[in-house]
Amino acid sequence: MATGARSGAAATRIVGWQHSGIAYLSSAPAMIIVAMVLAFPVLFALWQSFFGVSPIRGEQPFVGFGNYTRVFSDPQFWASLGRTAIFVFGVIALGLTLSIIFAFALNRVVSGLRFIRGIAILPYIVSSVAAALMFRTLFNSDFGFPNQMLEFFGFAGIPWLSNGNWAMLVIIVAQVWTDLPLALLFILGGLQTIDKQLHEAALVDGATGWRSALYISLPLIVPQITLATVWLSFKAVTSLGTILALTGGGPGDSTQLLTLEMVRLGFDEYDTGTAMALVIIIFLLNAGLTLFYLGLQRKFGMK
Amino acid sequence: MGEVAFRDVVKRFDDGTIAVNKLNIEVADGEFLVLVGPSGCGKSTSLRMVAGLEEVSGGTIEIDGEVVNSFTPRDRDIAMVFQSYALYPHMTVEKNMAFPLRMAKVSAAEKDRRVKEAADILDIGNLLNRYPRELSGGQRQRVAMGRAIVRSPRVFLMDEPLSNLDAKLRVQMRGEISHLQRELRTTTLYVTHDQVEAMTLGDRVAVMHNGVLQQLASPEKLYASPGTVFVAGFIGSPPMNLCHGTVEKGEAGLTVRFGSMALGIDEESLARYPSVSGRAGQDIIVGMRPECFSFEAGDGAPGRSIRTSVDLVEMLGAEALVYVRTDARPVNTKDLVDTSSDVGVSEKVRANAMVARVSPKGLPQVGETVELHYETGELHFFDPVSGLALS
Amino acid sequence: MRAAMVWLPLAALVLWTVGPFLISLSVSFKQPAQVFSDPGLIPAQPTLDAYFRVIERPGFQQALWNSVVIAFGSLILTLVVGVPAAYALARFRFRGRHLLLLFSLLPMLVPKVGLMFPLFLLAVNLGAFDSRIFMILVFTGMLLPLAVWLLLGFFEAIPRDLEEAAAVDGATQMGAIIHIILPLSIPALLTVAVLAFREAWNEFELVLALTMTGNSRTLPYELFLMQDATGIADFPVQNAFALLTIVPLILVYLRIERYAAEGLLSGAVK
Repeated sequence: MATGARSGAAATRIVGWQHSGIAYLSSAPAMIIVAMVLAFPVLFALWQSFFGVSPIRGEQPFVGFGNYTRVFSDPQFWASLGRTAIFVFGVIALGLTLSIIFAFALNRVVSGLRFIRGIAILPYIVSSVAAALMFRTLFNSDFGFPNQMLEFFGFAGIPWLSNGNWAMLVIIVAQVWTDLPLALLFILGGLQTIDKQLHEAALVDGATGWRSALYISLPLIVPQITLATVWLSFKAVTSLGTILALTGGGPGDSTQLLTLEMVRLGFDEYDTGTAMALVIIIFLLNAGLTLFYLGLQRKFGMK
Repeated sequence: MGEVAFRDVVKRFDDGTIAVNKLNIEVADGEFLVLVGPSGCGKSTSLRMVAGLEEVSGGTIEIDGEVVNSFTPRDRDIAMVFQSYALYPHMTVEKNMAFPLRMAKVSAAEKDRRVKEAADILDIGNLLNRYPRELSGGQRQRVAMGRAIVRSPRVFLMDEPLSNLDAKLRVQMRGEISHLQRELRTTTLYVTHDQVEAMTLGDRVAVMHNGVLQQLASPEKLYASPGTVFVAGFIGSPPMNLCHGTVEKGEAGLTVRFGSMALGIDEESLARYPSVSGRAGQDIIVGMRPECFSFEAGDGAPGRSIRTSVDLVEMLGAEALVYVRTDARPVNTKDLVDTSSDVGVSEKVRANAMVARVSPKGLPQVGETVELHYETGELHFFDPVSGLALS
Repeated sequence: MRAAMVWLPLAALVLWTVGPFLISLSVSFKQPAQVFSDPGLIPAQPTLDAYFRVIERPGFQQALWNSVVIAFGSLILTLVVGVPAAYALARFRFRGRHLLLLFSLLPMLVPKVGLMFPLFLLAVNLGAFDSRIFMILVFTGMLLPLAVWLLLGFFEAIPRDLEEAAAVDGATQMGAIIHIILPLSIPALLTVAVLAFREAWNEFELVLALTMTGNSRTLPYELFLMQDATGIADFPVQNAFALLTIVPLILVYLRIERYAAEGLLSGAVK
């Protein structure tokens, strides 16, 4: 076969079908839209974070890193960063545990896998606000299911949403509920690529059940676990809708995370420059965390 | 009408490799022309340039006297059968075959009539409502043919259309394609790496190697007088034995010596390669067809046979291949012989052996010393430097 | 014992996923006072009252209309703009192709919360604040990189032979796209359509940033506002509203679950 001679790029070579003009023309709209609503705003945010801009006052003094130093000297910032850290850590811990357990169980299902997987995906299609409202109902301290259970067994009900620590737990659970499907699918996808023979070999070697899972499967799906971690972390750091609709940052400031702080600064106090600085900090935080997870994978992963 | 002409056609890929170099071929109207050669020889690329699937880097391609270099495939009025068949998976057989007519905006009634007609010719009328995935390899091949003939194009282009079929089906379809082409009398360019296919199908065969046309001739001519060492080593199964030798002038006339063996150059052979007489004492390449050896003595004339020992005997049924040892310097056949048609003999045996295709009666044992007679008028001579046949 | 190790987590998975839906559904069939007096899962006197009250709300009707317009608008624009771009990237070689590919990857690192202000300011400056068309543009832009990647991968996987066959069969390039490429890409087109629809239908943060009045506000924001407005008591209405926003997506997802699972996975980079 002479086709080997034309290996390489997938571009068409059909005579008369290769006008670069058409290529530019047909990709231009997509590029313009992406540039306008994605690329430009990021650069704009970076730019604005160096100015004391406020749409209300209309002044635009250049302040250099002033906004950043203001953010860093604000105790509110550090407090909300701490809460964000707890939140993100909680989401990753709970999310990874659940997705690994569920993925291992799903991987054993032969018939009906598609059905159960279909159910597992459901939370993915629920908007953050709708999920938050469902969890408000669920964790209502008067008639919510957890408290009914506690009272049924003779314990006192827990003031889920009116106590700061419990409220943090509730938003962690709600966040995990919405973002679990993808993490679960990542890990399940990893498990399904592992050669079944490996397990049979392990079985012959005397490893069974959890042992086999722990020593054989888990190390092999480190890349997928990392991916799930990146995903859960990214969504947690940038989570806004769920928390806004579930607790609004309360009670008190107990669930006031960085993103809520950003909204407060920007929309409530019209302090755009500082809000933009916070946006950039959130970007960098995300990038830093992603690099951190990849580094962890490098250090502990097998591959 | 459907004359195709390549005039000094060059194809240079983006990475600088030259796939086709100064190709000149004229295909007559109604002719069945086969392009054959090992993989990477530029045959497929040449065909694709006719189709307009590949830009021409230099020279011109003409169809019916019109330069079509810049024509889109649509404007060339050609049809092509792909190695993969390239059937549209989401269309039924009927829709697949009607597609060219649909693109040509043929009326519905006419479309139906012509699809039915083509389906009848190819005997696939009962498959019209099936999807390609529901067809066997042979059926898919027929549908691909049907899609090509339904439009009555000026030229058929076929790119290794049979190579995805099993051996038995390939032989059957080969016959059908030949029959069909003779019936339709549509100019056909056919690409294959299989020299048997080339010889059986082509009115004329163009042998290509490294982007260069080696020889363009009828199958008979190609076999009887190969124009280059490459053609000699490519055509024939097993291919011609080729080795370096020297021409010697003795009392009994001219002799060609290769290694420790020698054969007298008979009058008939000399008549075909007269310039050999002027090459006394010079190096040449000598070629001997395996099927021209035999164990029966011919006219008993001296210098008509070689004595050597048997390395390997392969029984094929109606005939047998006997590999005999030679110490002659072999012509490097590595890029001459297509390994896909290799009978299975290791390179090592082949390098130190000559092959004889003989009748399977009274076969010698391995290790036995035998006397092999060579037919008169069947010696071939080539220039060792240029690789061209001597005049 | 070993079977339990599989079925126990599976039961937990189903309970974890479906539980909140069931409780929400249960509450939505109750009267506000009933929620406290009859806390059981199956209401003693189920009623559709909450659903009627949601549907009768003018805010809901307007938001539903906005959601439909904006979601379908985004879906259509994503395909109309994404398909040519993906085809060009898959089949043409032109200066800057690699740059564009990189360019379309970069935004995947950008979280939406970070875009709230910049887009808000952009909208105000363009006079496009509180405009449905601007929101369609924004949501399209959010999903385009992923859509182009999905389609690009799919187009590249379509054998070139098919396009070449179409060409010699007399199709123009446009003809080959319409008759061969697009019909073969239906799974990818469906996946992209659903992802685009979901993006626009569920988006909350950007709606919060880009809208002011009921004229352009979509369901999630309306739901968010209503929660404040109804104060403490009206759980049935809140849950009925939440469930109503989910229903269309559930219907779509049940239909194309197998594409969706793959589509979600291929969206892994996002």
